[in-house]
Amino acid sequence: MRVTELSLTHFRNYRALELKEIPSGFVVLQGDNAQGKTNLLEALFLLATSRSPRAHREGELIAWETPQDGTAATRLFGCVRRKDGPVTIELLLMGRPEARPPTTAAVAVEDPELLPAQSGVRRRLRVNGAPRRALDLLGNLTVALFRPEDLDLITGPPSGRRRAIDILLSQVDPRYPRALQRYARAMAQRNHLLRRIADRRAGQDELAPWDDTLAREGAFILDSRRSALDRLAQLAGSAHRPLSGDREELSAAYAATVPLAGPALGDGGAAVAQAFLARLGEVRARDIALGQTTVGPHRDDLTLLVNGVPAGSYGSRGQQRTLALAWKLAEAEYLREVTAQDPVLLLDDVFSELDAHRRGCVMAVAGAYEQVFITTTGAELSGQMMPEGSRYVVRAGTVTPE
Amino acid sequence: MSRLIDQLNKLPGVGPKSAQRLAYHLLRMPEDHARALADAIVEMKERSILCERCQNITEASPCTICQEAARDAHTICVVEEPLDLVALERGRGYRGQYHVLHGVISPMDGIGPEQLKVRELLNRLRDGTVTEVIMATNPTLEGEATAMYLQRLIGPLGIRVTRLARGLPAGGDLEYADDITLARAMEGRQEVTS
Repeated sequence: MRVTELSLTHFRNYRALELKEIPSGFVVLQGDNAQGKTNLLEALFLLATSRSPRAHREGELIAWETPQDGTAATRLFGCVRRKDGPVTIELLLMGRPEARPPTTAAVAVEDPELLPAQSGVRRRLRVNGAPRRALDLLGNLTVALFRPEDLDLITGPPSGRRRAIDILLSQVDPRYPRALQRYARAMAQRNHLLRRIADRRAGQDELAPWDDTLAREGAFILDSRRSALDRLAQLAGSAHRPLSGDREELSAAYAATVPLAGPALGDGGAAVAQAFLARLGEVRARDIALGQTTVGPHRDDLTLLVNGVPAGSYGSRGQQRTLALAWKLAEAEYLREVTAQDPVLLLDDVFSELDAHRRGCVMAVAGAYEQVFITTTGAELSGQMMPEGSRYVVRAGTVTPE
Repeated sequence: MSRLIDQLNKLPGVGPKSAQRLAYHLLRMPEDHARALADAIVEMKERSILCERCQNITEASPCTICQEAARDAHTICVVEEPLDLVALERGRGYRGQYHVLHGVISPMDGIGPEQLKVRELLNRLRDGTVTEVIMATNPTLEGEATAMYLQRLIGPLGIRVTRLARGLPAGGDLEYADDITLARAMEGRQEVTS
């Protein structure tokens, strides 16, 4: 698939952007820093997932300076050409003054796994002109976003890896984001109940329905994640070999906080649900004391292993960066495999950290996808590295074809 | 005036602007109309009580539905709110008894079984007349959890516990149904009979 049109109104530093007839192949977005290259990729990611890869509050996405009465409206519109026909996606964000972020960059870092719908920002989504809920948006436009922060997939905390696989699965299986949502809400309810039990304002018998829900939704999440991770590790291995020129063996390990008997079955995890439920019973006293649910997929980790060693403790910084790249290329390939359509690749400033050999490898792999957006300051893509494709110059919220 | 606006603003679905508009409308109203509205509100508050059996809002207890002799005494349909009961009655597909919980279990809102009409429901099941309890709570996470919780209490009494079916709305269009509704409808498919 590919994006043929993109229109942004009052989005970050874009006042009014209209891009029509965006071609397939490489779409190179060239410009100095802080001109809006990354914002453009963020807009495409938002149209795909309704989430921002980096904003902690939705209010950050809105260009606030305009109207007099303190409210502001942001519109993102994209037209996607899929194998099965064109799709239009529209995302509206309407902000009240209280959602305006403070000018000082003192933004609290919340749990990045769940960008909460912020109070004061109303969201409206339309697909082909018809109103849709955020969950029904997923899957219309699928994207794989590459960015410098991907190194965190290898060296960072588990939350980033959980988020990565959650976004990946949400794009290919409509049941998955629903399971995540139900799981998160059931856990919030259970945690409140745990604290009420500790205060002797509720009885332990009230836990049963929440434990059931957690076990059922959690087992589905676990089973989906493990199935995807196995395949992802194989694909990452194939992507890694030409990048590194080495013969390392890549595999993946899913470190679960509930006992897992046997491999993922792709059956929604009926057996896992039983084990999960039993485990929730075992840790009940501890959970009540802590007022928190201490086991489940929200506490799990998934790691890439190199020759059996966790990737985070393997090799040099450069080798870790190569592993992160292999992971992302595997995600793109996974999307292609499962949906039988090319995802749109979004490469944000990925070349500055790579040597010429790795750049060449990435360009060769990316070139096999229908459409690839690349941002660059221009310096590292000079000469023979410049891909065949269309070029746009990004300057202060304007984008001009070259 | 501003006191009235504040009061109206507290109503569900009424924002500050609507509250102002309503208040000015009331201001221009003939006095007898305004008095009739005020009386209606006060009278409703004074006269409305909960039915001793089904816990529905009524003026006389037991309520007219509970007193209707033609109704099946062996089934109780459990709903969250009085309005759900009204909706089911409008459908005319059910001729049994009701029980209104007045909410759903939601620990984050401080609502547990104690805050709902659960004990009253269990009391109605004691004498063995009721053979089936139909869970008609909403298909939300909390509605499901409430149904599950009640099922655990009622199941061991040897009473059949059923749940409303989920699927496509009548007169609906497949194209406009959301994914999850379609998936559920597929799960709950039935034999076509001639």
